[in-house]
Amino acid sequence: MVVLTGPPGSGKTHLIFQQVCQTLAAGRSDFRLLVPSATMAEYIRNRLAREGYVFRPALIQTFSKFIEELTPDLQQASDAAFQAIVDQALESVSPACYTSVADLDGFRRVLANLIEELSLGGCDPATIHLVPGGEAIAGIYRDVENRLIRRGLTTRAGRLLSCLESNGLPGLSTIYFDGFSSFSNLEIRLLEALAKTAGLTITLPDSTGSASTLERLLSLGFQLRTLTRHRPEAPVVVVAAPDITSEAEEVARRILVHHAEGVRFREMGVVLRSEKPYVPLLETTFERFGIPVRFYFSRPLSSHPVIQFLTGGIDAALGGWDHEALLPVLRFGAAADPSIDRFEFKVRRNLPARGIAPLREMAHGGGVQHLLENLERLDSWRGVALTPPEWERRIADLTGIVPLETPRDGVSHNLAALWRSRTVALRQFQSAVSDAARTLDPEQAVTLDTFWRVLKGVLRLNSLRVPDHRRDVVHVMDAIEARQWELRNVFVCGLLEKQFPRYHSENPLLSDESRELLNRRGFRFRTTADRQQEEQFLFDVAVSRATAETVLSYPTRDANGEDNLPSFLLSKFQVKVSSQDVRPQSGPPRSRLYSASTSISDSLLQEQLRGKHAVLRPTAVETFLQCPFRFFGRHTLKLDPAPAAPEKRLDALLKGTVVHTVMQRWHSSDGGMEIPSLVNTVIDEICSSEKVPDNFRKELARIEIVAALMKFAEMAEPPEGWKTSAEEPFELRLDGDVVVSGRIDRLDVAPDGRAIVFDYKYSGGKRLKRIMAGHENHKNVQVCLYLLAASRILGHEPAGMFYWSLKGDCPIDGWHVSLADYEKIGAAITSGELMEMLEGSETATLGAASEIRAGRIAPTPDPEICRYCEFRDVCRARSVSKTLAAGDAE
Amino acid sequence: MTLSTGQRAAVERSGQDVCVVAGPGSGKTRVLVSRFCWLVSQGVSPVRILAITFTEKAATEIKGRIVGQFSQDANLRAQVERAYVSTVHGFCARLLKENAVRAGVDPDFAILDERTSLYELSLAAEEALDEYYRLDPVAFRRLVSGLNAFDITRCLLEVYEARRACPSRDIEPVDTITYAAFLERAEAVLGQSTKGWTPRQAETWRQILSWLEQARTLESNGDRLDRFRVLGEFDFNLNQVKAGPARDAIREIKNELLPQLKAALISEHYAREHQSLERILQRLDEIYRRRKRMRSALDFADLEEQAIRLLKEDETVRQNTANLFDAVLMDELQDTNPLQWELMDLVRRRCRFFAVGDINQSIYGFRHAEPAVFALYRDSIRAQGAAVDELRENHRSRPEILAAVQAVAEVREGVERHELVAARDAAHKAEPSVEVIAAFESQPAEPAEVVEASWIARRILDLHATLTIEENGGRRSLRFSDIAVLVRKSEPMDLIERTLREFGIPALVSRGRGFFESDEVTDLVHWLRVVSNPRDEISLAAVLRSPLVGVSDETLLRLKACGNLAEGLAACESIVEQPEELERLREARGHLEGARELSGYVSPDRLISPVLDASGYTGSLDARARANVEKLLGIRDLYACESMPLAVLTDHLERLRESQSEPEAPIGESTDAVNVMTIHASKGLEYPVVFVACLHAAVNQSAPTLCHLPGAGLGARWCDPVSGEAVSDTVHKLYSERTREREKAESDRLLYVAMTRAKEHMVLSFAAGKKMASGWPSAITGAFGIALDGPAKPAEIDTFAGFRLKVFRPDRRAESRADDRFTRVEAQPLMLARPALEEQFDSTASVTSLTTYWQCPRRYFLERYLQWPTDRTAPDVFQEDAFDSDTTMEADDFGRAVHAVLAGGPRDNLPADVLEMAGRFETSEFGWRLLRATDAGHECDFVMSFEGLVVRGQIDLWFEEGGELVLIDYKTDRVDPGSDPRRMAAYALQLNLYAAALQKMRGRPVNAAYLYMLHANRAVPVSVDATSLDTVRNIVEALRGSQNRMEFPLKAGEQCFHCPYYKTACPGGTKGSSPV
Ligand code: SF4
Repeated sequence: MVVLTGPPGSGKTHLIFQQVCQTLAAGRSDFRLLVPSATMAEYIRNRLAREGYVFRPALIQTFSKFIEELTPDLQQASDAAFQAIVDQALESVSPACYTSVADLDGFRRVLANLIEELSLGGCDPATIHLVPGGEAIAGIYRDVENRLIRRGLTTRAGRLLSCLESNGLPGLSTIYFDGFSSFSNLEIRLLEALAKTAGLTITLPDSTGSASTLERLLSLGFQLRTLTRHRPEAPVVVVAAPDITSEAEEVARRILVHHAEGVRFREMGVVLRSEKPYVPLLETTFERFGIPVRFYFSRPLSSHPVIQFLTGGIDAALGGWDHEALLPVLRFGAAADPSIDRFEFKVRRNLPARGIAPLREMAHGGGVQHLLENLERLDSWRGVALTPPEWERRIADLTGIVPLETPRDGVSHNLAALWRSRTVALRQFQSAVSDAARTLDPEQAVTLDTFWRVLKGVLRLNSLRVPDHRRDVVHVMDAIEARQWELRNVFVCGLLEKQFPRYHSENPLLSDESRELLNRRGFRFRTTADRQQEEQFLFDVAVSRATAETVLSYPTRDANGEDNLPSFLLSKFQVKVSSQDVRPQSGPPRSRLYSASTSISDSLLQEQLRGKHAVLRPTAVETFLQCPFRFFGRHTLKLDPAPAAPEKRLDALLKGTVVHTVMQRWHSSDGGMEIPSLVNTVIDEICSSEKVPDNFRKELARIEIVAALMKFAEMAEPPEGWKTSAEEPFELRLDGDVVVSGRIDRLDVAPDGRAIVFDYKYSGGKRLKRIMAGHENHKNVQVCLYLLAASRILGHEPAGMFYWSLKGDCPIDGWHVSLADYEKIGAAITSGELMEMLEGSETATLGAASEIRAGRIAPTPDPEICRYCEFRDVCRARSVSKTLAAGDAE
Repeated sequence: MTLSTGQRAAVERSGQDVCVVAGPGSGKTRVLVSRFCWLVSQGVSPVRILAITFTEKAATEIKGRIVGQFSQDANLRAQVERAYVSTVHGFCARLLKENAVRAGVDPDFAILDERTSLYELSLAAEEALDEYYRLDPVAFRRLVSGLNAFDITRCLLEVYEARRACPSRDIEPVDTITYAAFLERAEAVLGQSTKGWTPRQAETWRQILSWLEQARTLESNGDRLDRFRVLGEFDFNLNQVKAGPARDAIREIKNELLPQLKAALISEHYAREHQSLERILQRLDEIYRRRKRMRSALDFADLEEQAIRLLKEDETVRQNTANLFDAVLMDELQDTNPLQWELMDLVRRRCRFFAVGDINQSIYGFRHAEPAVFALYRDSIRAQGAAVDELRENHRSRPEILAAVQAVAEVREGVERHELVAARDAAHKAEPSVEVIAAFESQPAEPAEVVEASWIARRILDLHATLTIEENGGRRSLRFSDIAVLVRKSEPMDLIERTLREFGIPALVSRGRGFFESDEVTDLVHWLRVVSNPRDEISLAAVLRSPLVGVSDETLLRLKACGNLAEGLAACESIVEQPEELERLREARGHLEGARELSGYVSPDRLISPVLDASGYTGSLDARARANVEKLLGIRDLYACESMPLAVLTDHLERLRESQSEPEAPIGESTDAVNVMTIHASKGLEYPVVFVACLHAAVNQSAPTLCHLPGAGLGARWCDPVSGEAVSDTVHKLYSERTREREKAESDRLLYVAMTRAKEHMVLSFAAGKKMASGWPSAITGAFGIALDGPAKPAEIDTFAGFRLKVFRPDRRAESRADDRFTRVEAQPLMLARPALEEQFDSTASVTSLTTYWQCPRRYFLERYLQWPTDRTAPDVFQEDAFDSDTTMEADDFGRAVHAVLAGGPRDNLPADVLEMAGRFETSEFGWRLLRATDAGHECDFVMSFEGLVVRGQIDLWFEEGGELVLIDYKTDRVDPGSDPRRMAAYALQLNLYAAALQKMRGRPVNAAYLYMLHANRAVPVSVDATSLDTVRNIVEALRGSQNRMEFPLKAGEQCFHCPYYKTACPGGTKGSSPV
């Protein structure tokens, strides 16, 4: 019985490896090498095989697997199942002191971990009961134990206890334990028992976290052998990068440089303190630079698309098939259906809605239809009560609807890994379903709701690790996993205060004080200080893995640009270098400089433009005059945006439609209709046809519109004797082939034939002012075109034209030929001036028409217009104005 | 650290609570750090000192500096590393984590950043409003009409946040006036005699009296609306009242009593609506809390709120917490809000508190900081007769600058007198260190702002060319990054940025909130939207026109001819002829398809990076834009977006864009550019050259529709039910008055803060001429005695009121000159080519895999490499090494049972056919040989390396008998050895590998190997020689090649009929062709 100890890098693993080699060389297989994780076991097995040994894989295995083999008849609850049982116990015992937190996942997790820690530490409910505040824990702990018995399940502690009762493994001469830094009380009891029949060699790091284990082992008669460093420490370089992305890129750069020098990827590794925030970043970065990599991390099972599909489907079924919730499910489930994009938008346009039937109508066959039919089966599951095993079977069957399109070959390894992940996820789902079923009374029928709640809890706790056996990859792992590794080049990222070392806070359920109390009675529970000290050990592990060089790196600034505090662990290293700015190789940047001369110059396309814009609407003309690109987007390309979310449908445009419709009806009733009820009718009609939800927003709009229109109505009467008509259609042929067609919002005609036109605007007074100003440079022409139409087609004498805002206080502005009734409104001008304005607008319109047909489309940004323009991301006006500004300065 | 006498006195003061008033540049941080070190030198353990800072940045800096002080003492250093140096929020979070159960919070709680909490909060507000509307539509209508606020959601959010920052525990009614009391006071005033008044004056008086008469009649009248009408009619020209006490009194009625009464009547009139608001706010709170709890999250306000509650309600926790610390140090006390102060009060012990601050730098009133906290603390110390330490020495600015600060800012009402003493040695400078630019409108009309901006640019260039500054004892010339242009609000930044660009000056504009509006971010967000659904034509057009793809508008028009751009893109080959355009479209389509395939599986940044890198997009961007791209790629951290459907994520981004609250990405210091920022953002910073610009621009100070006044509660501005005018209720009125005062004082301090940022040179600039909204320009011209009305002058150096200044009064734009141009050489990043990949094959394989591969690589790919399900029923429960393990997928229970029996397993309860099958072997010749064997092994699994490949397998049986080493593999399938040579050959391969393993295990060659076909009940000998092993070697090579290239061609044949993928996942079957 030997304990080998020494600092990280002192060759403990190496020594054990040598001994195992010797034993195998002697043709013996009466030993075991036990390690903490399956990946470590695999790593050692492969190394031994490459040394030329042929051996049974079980000789090198995890401690857990070893215990499992000793107790084949016991069924151990998975972590998730254990959590589910703790949850049930908490609910049933429900101690008053936990009422305020009992519903919180984090609390439940802490509780489950604590019960596991207590049981492995050999502390039973009766003992914990004696600790201050331990009463509640004891109650739940006891209940958990009973529940486990009832379900025929056990825990790791249960297995250990059962091992202690059996007689160890026959025929083993030696058992090596490598890679562990401590053992729980129960584990030590097992070691003691094993030591009776086999020789034990245990390695322990020379760290404070291992001290109590070491002490215990020595008291059992283990002999101590202390090793000192067997190889010189590899040189260490500290790299400071400006930010976390550059840090990852620097690691990639160095890896590529080494690789180019002949170092294999597999000889390099990245060691992290914890998964976040580096794993996702390294995934992206390594992929960008083409570096093959294997991550020794798992991710939450529930975030895998396959699982999201399955849970989404069941959730949607239980929730009555809400379309919005169901869409992602359909997208994934019918990804191969070519009509899925179109279908999605159709559904979005129709949101909010529920039920399978309307979806089937929208689907018109194809993969979507098929999927919907499959999902519909779930309807029959609602409301029935089945036993957990029956639910297990049903839900397992459900996995049949997960789409798995035929894999192609010739794809990247990453894509293949992704396909593989689906299978793994499916399997894990199956096992989660079984786990969930196992935590419930198998005889007791429950509804889907109940079963589903348990299953979701189990799924949340499951993690997914997709196997990857590629030979030449960079290894990315955490410091705990790294314990037995030896690599040529090692990169340790994220050396920042609070990241590495991490700071641990006291356990909220079992305080350090209570722990110390227990420890004085022979238990060995770790306190916050113990955990804190382990950080140094993990760091020592990380920096002692490399044989050629260790690179320690950190970002100098955080995501907000604030300075980071480098890890204090770095203080002993002097050499510090900066990262280099790198980027994956690519072609030259392909920015197309959109300038004022951008146009459609192809003659065929121009021909099309002529056909398309033979007849123009006044608003379209105005759009062009304000910005040709906006016209291009709206009227030529007619770009169709994604459907608006329900709460956004009642936007200014739609409110404008409501207002215009109300006006039209109100005028046609000669002002006889009540504005409020008219608004109600119109808003209801329009909102229901546009699927605007009936909520407070609609009510707000209604109140706002009614208030404004009531104000308007007070002023709307035409002067005595004048006749008002609304929505007067016209088709105005200007010069040659330019035709403008539209409707005059309102036309007031005096008995003597003088006419004024109104354009109603659903916008505020500020915009009205801008429109007025727009007439000066002929960017706005609408009322002029109305008045031209009134005079040329309807034969009236032009007398005035106004813009009338139908918002807020309903201001009005415009021009008139000194009409007495409009004395206080707008500007009085002479009829000559009025005619001049009309002619100016006509010229502008003709100019616009010819430019439209000649293909002019260059944006002419104007901040006031651009702010609300739907094409502001398309036109690149911001860069246009930047380049223009720069150009001006030349 | 050497300290001045004043600093030392403060650092070492003991026996009392300490208050250090530290002016700008007086070494505030140094004092705090020294205090910490001094305490330690006095024997206080570092972990028993709590140091609270206002920002994370300050905490980082202070902790770093303290640790630096103890670098020589490993033990102390280790303790310092664990010391409590954090923000208030950091401290609260730690407190709550450690007492989670008692505090009723999730021990694992997450802290919502501002972005997410605002999002959650606005959802909660919508829900609360909707709920209320459904519950009582009539009341809802009344409320909205009463408030005349159609952006009610925003109003609610603002007031909700204000409430949480400064909760009112006890609401005191605001002093108000009743209708009767008003009448009474009015009557008392109006009782005047009008003797000696002009008839006109008397007439006005009479009208007023008759108005009062009318008002009086309403006192007992039930219709309250009439009162509003009457009050609205008080519209007299008071100048027509005889000057003197009568006019003063009636003025008071008009300006004070009447508004008070109106407010009181409005409060009464809208009492019900006020209650509705309270109810909605309460629901909002409940919903928001519920949402947070569902996410196990707390927002920043919760941290303070819950920590205070815990400390107040749980005496044990409070005691324990207070006992943890022998000293509490607090930085920037003037920025503390009442809640934070309450918290400090709960943890500090008498004579153990040390606070540093400067009331003159309190500029965060809009974040509810309360400078009175500082003043009260300071005064309480004085009241106890203890000392207050005032640090007056300024180690930052040149004396001329300090003198200007004193003349301009320190005389302002909101700034307390606190003389600054220049403590810096500044070498003599010929040019004045303070400049003023008063810009006028130019002819033909160019607004004064434009002129001002151009002169700022001009002066930057001039200073850049001429000024040198001290650094590390020497002098160096000025860099752009030494210059800051500070403005009060962000609106003028666009103009400044544009102008600087015109002048060729590199500038870094911290506009603050424009992240989602920047070109590069919109491009990439649109890319995500296209990946989510390419039928979104706006997004697709944006992407196609962007440098990600970069095709022409003509191409766009051609694509659109298909009906939808997406369809055009899909069929681009038949539409677009121009080769370069076509190439770009194809490439884009390839990236799009790739991204869509990965969508959902990988974090969104990985959907972006391929197209980004391939198009060389970042190559043409400036530093800020590149940083924005990085920031967007960081969305993987910002949201839990991995599990978020892409459409949901893009909607979420859209919402964030609408909220306009996302700041642009920060960029490193390495860029040599002028910093343009708000004064608020400059707090705590210093620059050699500072422009305090656009001094004329004031901020809009109108009070919000809804407000919260601590101690008084909720206030609102309502519609007068008669006139429709907006009228404040009593609380809102009081709030507006107080806010006006506070903001005025804060505006004074803002100027003070801005001016004290400058070290070497300061330029004060504004657009003059127009009616200036802010009082700053006149403060400046007044202090220096600069006349603005003289003829415009480009520049003059003169002494103004005792100051040597350079004053510019331009009325036309400054010119940029040809010799100003700077060619900026931005370091180009290093381009790295992707490495050539080798050895992307697996390091391990099972024997069965190898034989499967040999039979059909496609099947191997599906069955072994991907473990593709063979049918749509459930696959096996996942095990540690299910992949590529040696159990074949079709191995049925029967086969396994037979193997188990033959390996000596229990026979009880097994079906007869299993036993019968096993018996066939047992009674065979080999069965008998086995009985005689000297050594044997059953079901031996093994690991070995073959050609560098780690192979796993399981040998059914070996034995040594008669000097021979014999290897047996049982087969329970129905393969007919005669008619299925391929399968037999595969089995033979297997046996060769087993033989190789066995040879190594036993240290001797295998003499004979057999397949025992149990169905046929006969043994088929297999040759295990060097040639056969060569075949295996070739197979291993081929497998590696396949895995490297990911190419697994199908090998159609008889075996297809036994293949589980036949006609499903294998194209060989689906093409309808017969495999044979
Ligand atoms: S954003 Fe401005 S420039 Fe761009 S299309 Fe719209 S209006 Fe034109």
